[in-house]
Amino acid sequence: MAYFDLVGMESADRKTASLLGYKKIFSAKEIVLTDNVNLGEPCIVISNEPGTLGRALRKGNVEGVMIKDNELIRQAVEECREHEKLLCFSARELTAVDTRTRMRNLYRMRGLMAFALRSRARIALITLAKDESEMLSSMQMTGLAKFLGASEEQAERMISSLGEIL
Amino acid sequence: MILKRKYRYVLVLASGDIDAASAGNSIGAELMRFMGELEYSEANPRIVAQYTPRLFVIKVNRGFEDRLVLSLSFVKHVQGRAIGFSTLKTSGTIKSLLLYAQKMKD
Repeated sequence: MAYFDLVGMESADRKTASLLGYKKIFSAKEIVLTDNVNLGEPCIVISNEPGTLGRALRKGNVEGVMIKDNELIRQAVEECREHEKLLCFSARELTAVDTRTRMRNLYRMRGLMAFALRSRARIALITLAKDESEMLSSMQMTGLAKFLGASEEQAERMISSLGEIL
Repeated sequence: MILKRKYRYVLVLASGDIDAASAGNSIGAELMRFMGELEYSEANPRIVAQYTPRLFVIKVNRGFEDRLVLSLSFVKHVQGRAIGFSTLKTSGTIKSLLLYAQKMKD
């Protein structure tokens, strides 16, 4: 299975990608992370408003959504499955934050992921690394997905789903 | 009967140059923070080799390699510097990691 990642940096070289076990690492230039639903280019919309998420999921250029603060918005998760869009989870919210925030995010992410897995939504676990120190290998991402409650097979699918949809 | 203890070796890539010998204690302290004292003592992770300033090997008791890989994901500061760690490969022998590291250099 080929693995893919999305980082928050301007570019990610091919050598780093193969070293970390990915087929390709998408950069912020290729897929924009935005809260603007009306953007014309391929993007992932970040919001915690059900209306905004719903509007975004009906647009062709929106590849997926990320729920801000990992709030459990059931309607958005179900719409993700209906429209075959990605529900993205950022590993950065666990690795690049202080202890208290990590514990809160871990609790919320587990809840949201459990519901998304039950709903059979297409999940993507991405690093969104802002610099090289925040990058994680595919092995670490699989471990992180399993820690969040996914099975081995589900974990692998989460890291490869970005490539399947793009 | 004395049982032979088995280990797993994990090849780690740091985001910046480090001296594994001097940074060992600092990395160990960070790992202990995430693993907890009991699990850390059971896992007994140790830096056993350094191939390049960014590439080194951690030895860990078998069965704890997944926890080590996960804990390393959370380590972002070593000796006051912002450094992250990516695990590239795990193996039962240090020799195969050496071969892998040599292939990476080429």
